[in-house]
Amino acid sequence: MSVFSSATAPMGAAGSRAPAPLVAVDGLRKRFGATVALDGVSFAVGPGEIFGLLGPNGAGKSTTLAIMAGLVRPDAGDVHVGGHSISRERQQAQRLLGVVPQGLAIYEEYTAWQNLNYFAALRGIDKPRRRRQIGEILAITGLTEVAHRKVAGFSGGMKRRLNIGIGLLGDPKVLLLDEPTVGIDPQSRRHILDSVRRLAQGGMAVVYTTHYMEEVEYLCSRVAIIDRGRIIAHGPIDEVRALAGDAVVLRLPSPQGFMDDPGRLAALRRALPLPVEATAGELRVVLPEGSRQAPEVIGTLQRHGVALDGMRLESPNLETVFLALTGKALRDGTETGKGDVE
Amino acid sequence: MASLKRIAWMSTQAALRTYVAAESLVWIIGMPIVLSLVLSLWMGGASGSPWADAGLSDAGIAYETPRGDAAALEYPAMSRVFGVYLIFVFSALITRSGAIHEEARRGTLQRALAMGVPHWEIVAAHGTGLVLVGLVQAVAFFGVTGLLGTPWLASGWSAVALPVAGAILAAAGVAVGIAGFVRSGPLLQMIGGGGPSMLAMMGGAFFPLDVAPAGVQRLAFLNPVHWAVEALSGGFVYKGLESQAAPLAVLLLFAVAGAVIGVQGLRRDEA
Amino acid sequence: MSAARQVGAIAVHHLHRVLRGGAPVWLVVIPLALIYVLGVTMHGFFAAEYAPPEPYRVLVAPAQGAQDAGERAAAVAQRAVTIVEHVSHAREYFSASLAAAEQARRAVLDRTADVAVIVSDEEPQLTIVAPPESIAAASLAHHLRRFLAASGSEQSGLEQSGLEQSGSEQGFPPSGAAGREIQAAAGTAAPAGTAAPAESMAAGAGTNTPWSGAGAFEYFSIAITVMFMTFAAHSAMTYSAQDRKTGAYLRIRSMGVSRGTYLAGGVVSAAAIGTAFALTMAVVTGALFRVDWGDPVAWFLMTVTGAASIAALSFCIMAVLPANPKTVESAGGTIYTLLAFLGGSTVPLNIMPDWFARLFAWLPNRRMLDAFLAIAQGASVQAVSGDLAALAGIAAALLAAGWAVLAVARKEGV
Repeated sequence: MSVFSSATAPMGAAGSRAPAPLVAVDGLRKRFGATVALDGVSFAVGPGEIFGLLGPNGAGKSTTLAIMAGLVRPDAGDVHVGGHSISRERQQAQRLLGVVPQGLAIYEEYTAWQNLNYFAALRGIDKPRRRRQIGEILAITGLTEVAHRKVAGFSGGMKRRLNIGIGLLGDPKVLLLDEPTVGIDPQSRRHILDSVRRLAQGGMAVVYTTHYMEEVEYLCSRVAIIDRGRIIAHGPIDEVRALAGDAVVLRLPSPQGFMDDPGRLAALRRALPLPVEATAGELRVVLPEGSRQAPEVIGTLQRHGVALDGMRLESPNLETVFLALTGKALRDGTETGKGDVE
Repeated sequence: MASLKRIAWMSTQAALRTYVAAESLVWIIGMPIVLSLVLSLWMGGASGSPWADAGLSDAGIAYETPRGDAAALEYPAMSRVFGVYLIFVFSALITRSGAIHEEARRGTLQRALAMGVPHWEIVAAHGTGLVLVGLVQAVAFFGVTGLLGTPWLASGWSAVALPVAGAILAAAGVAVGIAGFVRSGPLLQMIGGGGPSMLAMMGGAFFPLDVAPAGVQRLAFLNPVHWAVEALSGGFVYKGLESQAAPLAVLLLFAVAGAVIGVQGLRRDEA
Repeated sequence: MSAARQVGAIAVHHLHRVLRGGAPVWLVVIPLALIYVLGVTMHGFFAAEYAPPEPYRVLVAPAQGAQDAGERAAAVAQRAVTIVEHVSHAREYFSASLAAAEQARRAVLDRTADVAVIVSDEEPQLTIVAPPESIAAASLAHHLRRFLAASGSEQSGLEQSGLEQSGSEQGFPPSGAAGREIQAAAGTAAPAGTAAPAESMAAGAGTNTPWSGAGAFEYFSIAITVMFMTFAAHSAMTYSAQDRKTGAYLRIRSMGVSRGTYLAGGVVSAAAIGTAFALTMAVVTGALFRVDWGDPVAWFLMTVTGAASIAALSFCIMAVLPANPKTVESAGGTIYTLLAFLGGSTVPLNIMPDWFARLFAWLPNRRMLDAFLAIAQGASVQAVSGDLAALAGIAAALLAAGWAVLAVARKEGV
C-alpha cells in the first residue's frame, strides 16, 4: 500500500477555517450511463475565498461545476448557494451565481459590448444599470477600447476575458470558473488571475477549476484534488501539499528515443517500484521517502540506459501530491508506474 | 411578463444574428429573389390562361375563371414564384432550426440556463426567432418581387398574406419538429437543402398535381407545401377566405404538431 | 516526391475527407430520393400517352339565357346533350354530365367539378369555366375545338356521331400530345393544334432536343446526377479553402509542396470525386430505375471532362472568395443551386420556353445534361465531340482565370 493512501480522505471540516459558506456542495453523485462521473463530492466555499478544484481532464471538475450552475441534475446530493438549494430553488440560486464555462460561450458575430448587453438583458438587468455594469466589466477585463469590435477578430486571450466578463454580469456572489485560462498567452493569463484575485478581495466566493497547479498555488487558499469523481485530498493548500510528506520528485530530461519505446519504459517501471510519470520531454519519479531513495533509483535508471544529464531533485508541490496519490500525471491523465507498486 | 420580455429579446436577437451573416442574406433572401426573377421572365410572356390571348374565341371557345374575375388570370404568373418562396421559407427555417443546437455546442445556451433562463423560454424564443426570420424573408421577397411586377395584391391582401403567414408558421413548426430530433448541423443542412424542393414538386407548387399518380396526389395531403399552394389558389381563384380557411387550418395544425413534437425532443436537453 | 505524386497524395487526402464527412449518405441517398420522387411524380409529364388517375369531372350546361322556352333554347339544350355524349366517349379522361349553368359554375367554384362547359347559340359557342392552370380544361378544349371545327352550327347528328367515332379511334389525347396539354395548362405552350399566337409560345419542347425522347426517370437520373456532381466536386474544393484558413496549407507548403502542386491537388480531387459520384449514380440508377446511360466510352469521356469543368469552376469560386471555408461552401451551394435551376436539373427543360433553353445552353452543367441525354439515347463519342471540346475549353479558361486571380491576390498581399 502506498504511503499516500491514508491521505485520500478529505482533511478536516470543509468550512472550519473559512467564514460561513456562501456555497455548499454536499455529497454529489452523478452517473452518465455506466460511467460514474461524481461519487460523493462535498466541499464549501466562503465569501472572499478562492477555492481550487484541481484534477486531470475527465476527473469530474466540469460536471461538478455544471451541477453547481444548475445545468445538470445530480443523482444524489445537493448544492446550496446563499442558502438556496440548486435542486429546489434553482432560479434563486442561479441569481447569485456567475458562471464562466470552459468553452467560449460567446457570439463571435457580435461585438464585446453586444455580447455583454445580450446576456445582461437575459439576466434581467435594467437598461441604466446594464450600461453602467457593462462599462465596469469592460474595464475589469481590459476590453474597453475594443468594446465595439466584432469578437471574431479578437485574440484568444481577449475572448477568454470577455468570457469571464459575461460571468460577472448581475453582481454575482459566487463565481464559478471552469478552466478559464485554457490556451491563452501568459499576459492574458496573468490579467485573468489578477482579476479573479481582486474579485475575491471584494467578497466574492470563487470556485476555480483547472489542471494547472501553478494557478491554484497562485490563487487559492484552499483546494480539493479530484480524480475519477472523488475528492482525494481537500483542505488549505499547505496542508494538502504536506500530504506528500518527505516525498521529493526526481526530474530528468528524457533521453532521445527512450520515450518512443514502450518496451523500455515498461521494463523501467517494472524495475522501479515507484510512481513514474513519463511526459514528452521529461521523466519524473516520485521518491516517497525523500532523497535517501535517490542513489538506488539513479542506479536503476542508469542500468536502463537513462542519461542523467540535467537531473534534479524537487520539493513536492500539488502536482507531486496528485502524482503520488493517483499514480497519474495531472495534466494529461497518463497512467504511470504507480500501479506496479501496489 | 418577464418571460415574454426575455422571449422577445432572445428571438429578435436570434433573427438579427441570422441576418448579420452575409451567407444567410444570400441564401435566405438573395437566392429566392433571383430565382423568382428568372421565373418571372419565363412567365412574363405567358401570363394568364392559355386561352387568354390565344385567339381561341375565333374557334368558338371562351375561357372564364371560377369566380369570373380577371384577378384569377394572374394566378399562373405568381403561383410558381410562390413555389420558389415556399421552397426557400422551408429551407431557411429548417436550416436555421439547428441554431439551438449550435448554441448548445458553443455553450451560449448553457450560459443562458445558468443565468436562470428556463429551458422552455429558450425553446419558445427559438421558435419565435424562426417565425421572425421567416417574416423578414417574406417582407423582402414579396416586396422585391412585387416591385418587379408580380401582382401579389391582385385579389387583395388576404389572398396572399394569409397563405404566407400560414406557410411561415407551418415551416417554423416543421423546423422545430425536425430540430427536436436531428442535432447534426450538416444533416439539417441536407434536409433543409433537398427536402423542400421535393415537397414543392410533390405538393403541386410548380405543376398541377393532375400529372402525378394517385398515390402522390394522396401523399400531398401530408405535405404542408401543398396546403400553402391550396391557400393561395383559394384566395386568388376560388372563394377567397372561405376557400382559404381549411388549408390555413391544416397549416396551423402542421405548426402546432411540429412544435409539440420538437419540444418533446428538445426537452431531452433540459437539466 | 515528384510533383505528380504530391498532387496525387493531396487529392487522395481531400477525397478521404469528403468521404469521411458523411458524403456517402448525402451524395447517394438524397439524389436517389430526388430521382425517385421526381420520376414518379412527373412520369405523366414525360409520358407520350397521358391519362389522369381519375377521370376529370365535367359539367355541361346550356347558357343561362338559353334556358327559356323556344326553338333556340331547345337547340342549345340539344347541343349540350350532344357535347356530354361526345365528351363521355373519352371515358379515361372525362366523366361528363348535364347541369344548369349556375349549378355548373358553382360546382367549379366549390371544386366538386373540374370543368364547366357553358353552351350558347351565340359567340362564343362554348365557355369553359375552370381554374387557370387546369389540365382538365386544356385537354377538354383540345377535344371540343375539333368537335366545333368539324360539326359547325348546322352539323347533323349523324356527322357528329362520325366525329365521335373518329375521336375515339384516334385515342385521346392524340399520342405525344400529353406534354403539350400540360405545357398549355402551365401557361408556357398551347394545346396541340391551337391558333398561331399560341403556337409561337410553344416551349422548347421541340422534337429535336436531347430531352424530347427521354422518360421521367431517365431525365431526372441524368439531371440530378449532374446537379450533385457539382456539389460533390465543390465539397472537395471546400477543403482546400479550409486548409488555407487553418494553416494546414502553410504547413504543407513548408514541406516542399509548391503552390501550383497544392492547388492542382485540390482540382484533381474535385474532378475525381465528381467522376466517382457519376460512376456510382450510373451503376445505381441503372440497377434501380433501369436507366441506360448509353455508350460507356462516350459516357466516360463526358463524365471526366464535365467533372473537370466543374472542378475548374469551383477552383475559380475559391480563388475569388476570401479564404473562409464557410463562405466558399455557401457561395458554391448558392451558385450551383442556381446553375441547377438554369441548367434544367430541378425544373425540366421541356416545360421551359425555347428562349430559356437556348439562353442557358452554354452553362457547363447544361452542356453535360444535353450530352448525357444524347449519349443515353444512342449518341456516339463523335456526336458529342462538340460538347466535349466546349467543356474542356471551359475548364481551361476557368483554371486560368482562377490562377490569375490568386496571382493578383498574392501580389497585393491578400
